[in-house]
Parts: sequence; structure tokens; C-alpha cells
Amino acid sequence: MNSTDFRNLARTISRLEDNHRETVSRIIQLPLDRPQCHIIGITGPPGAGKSTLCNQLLSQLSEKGKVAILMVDPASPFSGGAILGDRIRLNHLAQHPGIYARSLSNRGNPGGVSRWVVTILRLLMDKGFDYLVVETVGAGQSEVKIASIADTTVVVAVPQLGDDIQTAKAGMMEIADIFVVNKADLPGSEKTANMLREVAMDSSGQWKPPVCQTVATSGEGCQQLVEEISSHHTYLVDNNLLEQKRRNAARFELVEMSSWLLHRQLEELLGERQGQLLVSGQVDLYSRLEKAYEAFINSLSEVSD
Amino acid sequence: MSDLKEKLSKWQQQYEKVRERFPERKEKFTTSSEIPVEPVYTSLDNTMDEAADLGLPGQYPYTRGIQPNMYRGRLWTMRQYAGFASAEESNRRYKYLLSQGQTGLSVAFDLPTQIGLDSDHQLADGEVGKVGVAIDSLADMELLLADIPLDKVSTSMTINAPALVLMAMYMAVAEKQDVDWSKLKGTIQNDILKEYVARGTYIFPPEQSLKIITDIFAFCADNVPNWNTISISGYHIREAGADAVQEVAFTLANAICYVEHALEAGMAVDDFAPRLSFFFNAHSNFFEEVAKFRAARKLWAEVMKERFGAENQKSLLLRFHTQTAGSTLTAQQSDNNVVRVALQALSAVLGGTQSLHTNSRDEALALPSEDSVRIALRTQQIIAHETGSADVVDPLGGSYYLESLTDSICKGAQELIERIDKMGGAVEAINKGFIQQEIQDSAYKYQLSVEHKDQIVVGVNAFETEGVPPADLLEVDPEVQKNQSEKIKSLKQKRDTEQVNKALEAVAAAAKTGENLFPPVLDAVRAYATLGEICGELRQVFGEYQAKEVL
Amino acid sequence: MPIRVLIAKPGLDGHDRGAKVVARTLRDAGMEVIYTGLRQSPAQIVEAAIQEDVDIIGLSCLSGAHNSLFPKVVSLLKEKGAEDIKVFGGGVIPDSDIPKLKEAGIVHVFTPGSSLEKIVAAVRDCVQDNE
Repeated sequence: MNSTDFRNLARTISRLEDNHRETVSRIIQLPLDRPQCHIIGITGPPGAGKSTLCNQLLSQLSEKGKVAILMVDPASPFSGGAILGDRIRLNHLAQHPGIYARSLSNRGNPGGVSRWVVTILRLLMDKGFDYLVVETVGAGQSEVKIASIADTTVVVAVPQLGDDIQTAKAGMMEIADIFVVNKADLPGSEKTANMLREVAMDSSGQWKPPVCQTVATSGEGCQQLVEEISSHHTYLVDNNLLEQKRRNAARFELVEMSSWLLHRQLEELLGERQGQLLVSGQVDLYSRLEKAYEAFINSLSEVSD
Repeated sequence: MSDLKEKLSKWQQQYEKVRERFPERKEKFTTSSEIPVEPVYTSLDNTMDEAADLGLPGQYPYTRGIQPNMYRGRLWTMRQYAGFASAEESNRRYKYLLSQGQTGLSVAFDLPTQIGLDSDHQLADGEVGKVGVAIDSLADMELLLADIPLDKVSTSMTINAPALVLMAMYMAVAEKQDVDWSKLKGTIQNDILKEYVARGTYIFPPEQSLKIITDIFAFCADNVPNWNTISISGYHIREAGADAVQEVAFTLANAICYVEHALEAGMAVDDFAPRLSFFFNAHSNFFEEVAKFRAARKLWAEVMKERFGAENQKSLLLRFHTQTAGSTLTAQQSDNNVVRVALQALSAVLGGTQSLHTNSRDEALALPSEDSVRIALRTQQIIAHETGSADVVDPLGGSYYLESLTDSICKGAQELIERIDKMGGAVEAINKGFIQQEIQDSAYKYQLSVEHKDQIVVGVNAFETEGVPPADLLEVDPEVQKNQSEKIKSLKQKRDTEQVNKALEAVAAAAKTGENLFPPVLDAVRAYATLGEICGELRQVFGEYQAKEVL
Repeated sequence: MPIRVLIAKPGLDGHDRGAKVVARTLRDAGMEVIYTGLRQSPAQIVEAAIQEDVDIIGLSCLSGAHNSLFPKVVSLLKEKGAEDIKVFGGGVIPDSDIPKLKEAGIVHVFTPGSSLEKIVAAVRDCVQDNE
């Protein structure tokens, strides 16, 4: 892609982020089901070396195809502004013609991802990217959200000693398709990896999450990570599970979108009088909402017929 | 004593009454490090035992100075950091400064040199000769030091990541001048840790950089015994936004890390510790600065004695260079900077500095002009010869306020050093981003206090005038890069390529095996291998540092 | 819709205190600030600005290389058809260089001691002019 393509792409993403109506309704009609395309989520606590790891990943994936990365950081709760610093790690990759990198603020959206992230993925898929990487700072909730967006969720941990391991366990088990112990040159790496292997063995599904030990700063172990990522993709395709993953993503998008629309309507339309109704309790809000959603679902079945 | 307590309580009543009627200028007064400042201090504020805790100059813990007579014997070294454009032009400026009574050289290198790139490198575009002199090979170093007797002057070189290469070039020039290495006097900055947190001219990752530094310690201890092989610098940490306590703490934490590495490499503490030197900032909060220098001296002596068991008295002495704070210079009403610099310089002298650089008034606008540099040097000479400040040792010692401040800074810095120790030392604290975060937070807080006018900066947020910008600023000839690049081209044609290649291979081999890098680098320098070529070999083996940015 | 700003350090200068203070200030003024770190070439800066779709770029340089680096960013933006992205700069910049920089398309030049409030206001004005 040349800079004009990147420029157009970048501007469309901005319009999505800015809730530009025509853009959203156009992009939302693009397919999300290209099977050869792979959505990879990377999450983990701050300081785990995610950005550096992504840099290595990008460099290797870009040899196999076109890569786009979305780097999501939280907005300041006070000003709504944000400092998006993940680009620092990209270095020379920032000018690679086969890599598109975009920093996103979550704009206060709970869950740590941008509201339109799936819609942006549709756009990127349409532009012919083969690998779509979404990097988020993991802190409880957002780890779960990234798992409902990505085909493959990579959870990055750092070597832990002692009791920390137990706390690190919580919340990771369900969502990881692949575990990474980054900074594997630090003490405690082997122990942490073993603990994660135990977690992986307990996993109920057919897929047992592999554990990769990496040193992102030197690139050690990153080759293996890329191989694991692609075998997870093969596994999903071979077992007809990819479609389910994409449905999850589309469902996430739908929920986000409907909550956004409701919020916007509330802000714009709920004046004094209607607001009063909410409090006074004269209306069966439940039934009304139910009806509205029924109508929406029915309208969808008309399309599929 | 009881009499004093009585008087104090009476004063307290008077004071409260006055304050009720006339509210004070600020709700609370603090130093730049947020140490609370009381309205008045007495002997009751300091419970120290003068003989045991404070001592005398030249006596442990050296709070009052490292020598018994300080400047009554010899004044501090007046050393103005200079260097720009080409080696020839810088050489001319050095000779001018020496003719004006300066007593030591201080070489500033341009950014490509500091990052180990030759002037013809693409990333060097626009930077060649800008903040210092461009040195690409021994040929440039020969021009830089032409007609300067290396056995007579002491030379300070602000060089870090490629310090080993520049030091080797300096020694090679000495060989050509027939000056024995044992007669060489001076300092290389060689302090890589602060580059990661404050100054940004790093090349290799921390562990590899520390290995190079230890190589320098070992080789120079044997071959250049009078050379200070490191100048552990708080200056840039302060410039990046740290406060006085953080300046002391982070500098000493870095110093501790260097000592530990040298010990791990098998050196004995008293073999290298006497060659460690320091570099601090002289900022604007006058008394806090004087106290800071004293506190640093005391803490270092304690660290060396108690933590590292040093026995040689010279290992305990914190010898330091001081530069006035560049970040306090204002572009507005830039002549006011002369006054700022004078007061800052005085604080360094009262704090017992061994050498001093005074900034020039126009440095917030450009590189200093010759006139401005002369005024800056004259400022030091006025302090030395007209104010009487140099005639008595530690003249502020015993001041209730100053001793209390010295104590507060010691305690604050000690706490921070302990936190860094708990993280596993300076390298870990840098890898975690802790030191960077601390500095950023202080920088931002300071800027907001200027913005809200809690901190007044004369001419900037108060007492502003529509000023006429000063004329006669120094401009570096944009042709320097072209000329340097041509010099490299012709050098590469003239030199013995085979010899250069062999020497470079030897550098790479030593980097891989972990042998001391100094001997092969010396050979490469003598063969006129360029700085970029030598550092290139090391980059191949050691890799490059990826910044840990914290905002 | 937050203003998007790229704060970059072109060249080899490692003094990033000013750049970081400005980045924080713009964030606290509600903007989305992309910070690229040290040692960026003009080409890298322009590529980042395009991919990130920023409204404006802030360049900081204290080494004296501004005369060659700042205008290069503007001309590369033009070359790539992105001249609507505005560029402002700051650092140790002599007054005598400012007219040349403005002529080259740098919309604002801030020297040491500039008020943060003014910087925020200038960024807002530039971006609004654009819309």
C-alpha cells in the first residue's frame, strides 16, 4: 500500500471513531468472515513488554502477509485525552509498506477497547490485510473483551515469584489461546511457565493453550510464538470454529453499537418530560425495549430471507 | 538552652500575631524538592553532634569539603564546556579560552559523535557540528588538539556511549605528541545510565554498556592513572526535571551500580574508586543547592565506607564538577541570565565544587557567542577574586537553616536509594521506568507551577517586557557536514584498508569473547578506522537499546 | 471529537523534557497525543502522522538542527498529499530563524519559557482553522 491508501484508510478509521453515521453504516456492511484473515489479540498487564513483543510479531508476520495493528490505550478519565505511546516501539517497521499501525484511545469505553474496534477490523479486512493484531492493556475486564473479538487471544505474563503466581492465575484461564512468558531471561520464568502449563492442562476444550517463553527485546522465542499462532488458526479452520469466533466478534460489535445508539438517543432526546417518565414509573420500559428489539431482530430475518 | 526555648515560644506568639494581621506571600513555603521551609531556624532545629556528625573539612564524612583548606590552596578549575562545528574551529576556541585564563578544557561533541555515527550517516543530517564538534576519526582528534600541550592541560570530554573510542583517540594523539600517558589528566563522562533516563545519547543496552565501562576502568587504572574514568552525572537528571533530592538520589544510585559492576568484574574497590568523579547541577534555589552538594558528599562517603568497605581515604571523596542549570535560562530578557548564572555559580562554590562551568546568557537561544562565553568566565573570576567566598572553607556551615536542609536532603535521598535497592538496583529501576516516571512527574509539576504562577520566573511569567531579541548569535556553518563527509571520503582512500579491516575484526572478536575492548579499539583508532565503523562493529555484537519511554 | 496530535523528536537530540511536558499538557487539555520517542527521521514522522491521521504535528529540537529538519517534515507532507496536517515546533530556536521556519510552513514556533496555555490555544486554533 502507498501513503495515499494509508491516508484514506486512516481517515476512514477516524470517521468511525468519531461516530460518523454514513461511514459507520457503509463499513458495517463489509464482511467479517474472510477465513484466510487472522485476528490476533494481545493482552497482558502494563510493563509485560507487549509492545516490544508486538514489534517482533509484526516483523515476522510481515514476511508472510500484510499486517495491521491497532494499539489501544485508555483515555484519561479527567480530560478524555490520552497519550498513545505504543508507536515508540515500532521503529523501522513504522515505514514498512506492508504494515499499518494505528494507536487508538478507548475514549472512555469501559472494557479497554475502542467501541468501533470490530468495525475497524471489517475495514482492514476489506483492504486486504492478512493479519489483524489488536493490542490492549489487560486489566481484568478488557482481557475478557479482547477474547470476544479475536480469533486467537495471546495472554502475556512476566516471570513471577511466589504467591504472585496465584493472583496472576485469576481471569487468565478462560481467555488465553496462547500463553507467553515474556522476559524469560529473568528469574522465575520456568516456574511461571510451569504454572501456566498446569492451567492449560485444566482447560476444558480440545485446544490446550501452549506456553511460549520469549525475550521480546532480543527476539528469542518469538519464532515459536508465530508458529503457535498460526497453528491455532489452522485448528480453528479445521474444526469449523473460526465462524463461531467471528460471530462472537460481530455480537460484540452489535452490543457496543446498540448501547452507543441508546446512549446517544438518551443524551439527545431525553428532555425534561421524558426524563420525568423514567422516574415516575408510569411506563413499562421493559416491554417497550423488548418490542423495539424484537422489531429489530425481525427486520434482520427479512434480510436473510 | 532553656532560655532559648523560652525566647522561641515568645517569638512564636509574635509571629502568629503578625501573620494574622498580614498574611504571608504563600500559604506554605517549600524548596524545589518540597522540603518545608520554616520562618526561622535555631540550634533547636538541629540536634546533631558537631564533632561526630558534621566534622571538619577534609575529615569524614566530608560534609564540609574534601580538603582541609579548599580554595585557599588552589581555586576550583574554571572549565567552560565548548566545541562546535569542525575540529579546527573548536581548536581555535580552546586556545582563546586558555588565553583568557581558563584552566581546563571541556570538549563538547556533536550528536552524531555522541551516538557513534559518522558525519556522512543519513541520521546525522542537520546535526553535524551543531551541539559540539564533529569527530569521525583520529585525524579530527589530531586537529582538535593541535598545539595544545596534553601534559599541561586537563581535559574533560562529554562522551558516554562511545567513550572508549574517544578516549582511545585522545591517547593516540598523546602518543603522537610524545606525551606519556601517565601525564594525561582529565575526565570522560562515561556515565551511560543517566543517558537512558535523561539525556538520550545511548547506543547499546545497559548490560553491554556497563561491560564497556568496566573495561575502561580496568585499562585506565593501569595505563592512565591520573584520568577520571567516569563522571557520574546528576546534571542531566536535574535538567530533565528532577528536583534536588532526586538529583542526589539517582546519581548515587547510578554510582552504586557502577561500583557493583566493577567489583563483580573482579576489581578491588580502592583500585578504581579514587578515579570516580561526579557532576552536579547548580540550580536556582540557592540554599537548597549549597545543602545538596554537602549532602551528596556526606552520603557518598558513607556509602563507600559502610556499603563497600573502602579503606583508601581517596575512595570516600566525592569530587565533582558543577554546571549552572541550563534549564533555568530564559529566552526572554536573556541578559538576566547573567545574574541567574552568578548566583548559581556562587552556590556551587559555597558547596565546595572542584570545577565549574558557567552558562552563557544566550544559551536558551543558540550556541553561545564568544562575548557571552567571556562574561560567563568572568563571572567565575569575580566570585573567585572579588567576593571573598574562596577565602574561607564552607562559609555557610553551621547555619541552622543550611544544616537542617542538608539533613533533609540526606534523608530524602537515602529513602529513594533504598527504594531503588529494593527494585534490584539502578538498571532494574530504569527497566521498570521508575526513574523516568519520577523525573517526568517532577518536570510536569514544575511546569504547572510556573503556569499557575506559584513559581515566578522573572521575565517569563512576571515582569515581562516587549524585548528586543539579542543580535550576534552564533551560527554554525551548514557546510560542516559536507566538509566532514568529504574528509571521511578522502581518509578512506588514503588509509591502509587491510589494516583497518583487520583491526575492526579484532574489535568484533573481543566484543564476542568478552575480552577487554580497549587494546583492539586503540589499534583500530591508530589505523584511522572511523568512530562509526568501530561502533558499528559493537552494534552488530551488542545490539541497540530500545528506549523505555514513560509519560 | 478529540484533536489528534503527533509529538515527535526529529534528529538525534535526546532532550525530551519539553516534548513530554507538552504531550502531557495536550492530553490534559483533552487531546489524543501520539508520542513517537527519540531519533525520528522526517520520513518516519510523516509516515506516522499519516497512519495515525493526526490533525497536527509538534516537533521538538534543542540541538540546532531545526532549520533542516522542520522544513523537511513539511515538504514530505506535501509530497504525500497530506499538507492539511499542520506542523508546529519548539526548542532552542533563535528569533532570527523563526521567519524562515514560518515561511517554510511551520505554523507556530515556541521557544523556552513559552506558556503551556498558549501552546494549547495555538493547537486548537490551527486545527479549527482547518475544519
